[in-house]
Amino acid sequence: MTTDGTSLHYLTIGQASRLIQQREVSPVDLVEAYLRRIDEIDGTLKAYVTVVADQALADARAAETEIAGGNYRGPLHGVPIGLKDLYDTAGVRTTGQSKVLEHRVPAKDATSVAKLRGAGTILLGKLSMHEFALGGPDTSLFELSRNPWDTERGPGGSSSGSGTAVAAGLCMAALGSDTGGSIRIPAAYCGIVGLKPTYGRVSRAGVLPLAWSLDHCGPMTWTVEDAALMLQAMAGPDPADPTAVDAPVPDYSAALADDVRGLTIGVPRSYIDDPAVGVDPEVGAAFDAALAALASLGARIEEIEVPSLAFATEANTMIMISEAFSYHRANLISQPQNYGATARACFVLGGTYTTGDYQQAMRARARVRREYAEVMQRVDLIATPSMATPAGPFDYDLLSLIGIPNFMGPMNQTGMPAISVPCGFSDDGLPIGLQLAGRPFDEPTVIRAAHAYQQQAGLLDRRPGY
Amino acid sequence: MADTFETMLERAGLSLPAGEVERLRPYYARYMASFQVVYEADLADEEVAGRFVAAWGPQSEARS
Repeated sequence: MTTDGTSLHYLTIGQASRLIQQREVSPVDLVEAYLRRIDEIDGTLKAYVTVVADQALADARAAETEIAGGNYRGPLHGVPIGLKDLYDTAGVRTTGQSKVLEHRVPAKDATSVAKLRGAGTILLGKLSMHEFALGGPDTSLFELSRNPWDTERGPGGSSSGSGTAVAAGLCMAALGSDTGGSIRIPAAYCGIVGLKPTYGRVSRAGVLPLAWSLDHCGPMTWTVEDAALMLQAMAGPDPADPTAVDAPVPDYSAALADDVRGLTIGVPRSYIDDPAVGVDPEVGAAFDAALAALASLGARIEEIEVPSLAFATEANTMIMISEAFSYHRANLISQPQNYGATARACFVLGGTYTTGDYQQAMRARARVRREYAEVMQRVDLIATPSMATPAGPFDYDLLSLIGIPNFMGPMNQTGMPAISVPCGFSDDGLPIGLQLAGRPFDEPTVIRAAHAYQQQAGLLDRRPGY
Repeated sequence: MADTFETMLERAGLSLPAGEVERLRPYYARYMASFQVVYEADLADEEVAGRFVAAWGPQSEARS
């Protein structure tokens, strides 16, 4: 507990870093608090598939000594984090939550993990996920995490454990990956912030792929401020990933100081209201209230049309599972029994597409990119609900969701940065998310608007009952 | 559709137990149906082509 009564496990990075720098809280205090918390409640929530308690304590002691010696590295120094179990971690098993890789222990860290270690973060462990970032609850290895707001509900995926852990105070921040919404979906369902940066902003090297041309790596946190701090450490070029762009990395925290006055936010209203999208009335009401709040803060709201949204979700699915099949084909042939039923089904179906199907989907993607590029000439951001509904039942059939339009996939096709920030709760007490997307490499504007909204929304103190 | 599914599986090098083929068959049909919207879109002026940066070379393409 801090002097103001905040439980250590519910400190944000912004709060903790100030306390660590002032030496009012030590990294050892934090790691011990999280390990206790994991011990107490993760038997139910199942966020972690691997906990590296001894190493975390050793790293915390080293950080404490370093900081006491006047070598404070910055706002992530001594911050305990968790990683989706597809980020390579040197000497720590990394499985993609699949029996296919049950005994895989990488020799080196993923680039983004190495960067976060360099910034001083402390690894608590690896987090549960949908198998190979696509399967449903029937993973072939470990259990899937539960939604801390209602354990009978799904946490969303595929970065499920990351959403569960951040919401329940099982780590201060986590990393997820996002190919069709896998950072933003669990962020929305678990009531946290999930930031999918621009494609090329963060290296994918050392991260198990789902679909190379759609995969993004990014942070999942309680606050937008914390997401900015995490992105700062992760962003930048990487010789190991030719798609990581060598563009200047701005000061993301500087964007937190600006308000939304002067920003124009586009809303694809006809798509949101399309019955085929199926926006739940409570989600719709929370979204409209969020728009009203942004308008009251000085943003201008403008309706936009993106005709290619009529086929964007289908194109995203075609590209995603086609590329996934290409990656998994050899193992699907040699060890199909080691995949969970849903993951295997998705990858197998990806193998039934022709090259003509894939090329048609890529042409559709070109249209999606072009239309968004045109729209983004007129607006600074695009707002939608993150998800059409609050979290559904824990057990569900992923394959039955084929073809249902969503708000996420287009941002993977265009590579635009997009964030999910909490914007309300259903009558059942389930979180609802607001998605804001910006121009490529304009994360500062996304962060600026999301932070301004989060500060105004008044939801920061509402935590799950754990 | 039945023959098509099995042919496509074979072409992909996949050999599934008969029960799993039958389990996946309706999903295959649903996938194929849902993707018609992508084929029905007017994409006449869209193309897929590689893009090259000015500094293109072994360095820009390399994975270390």
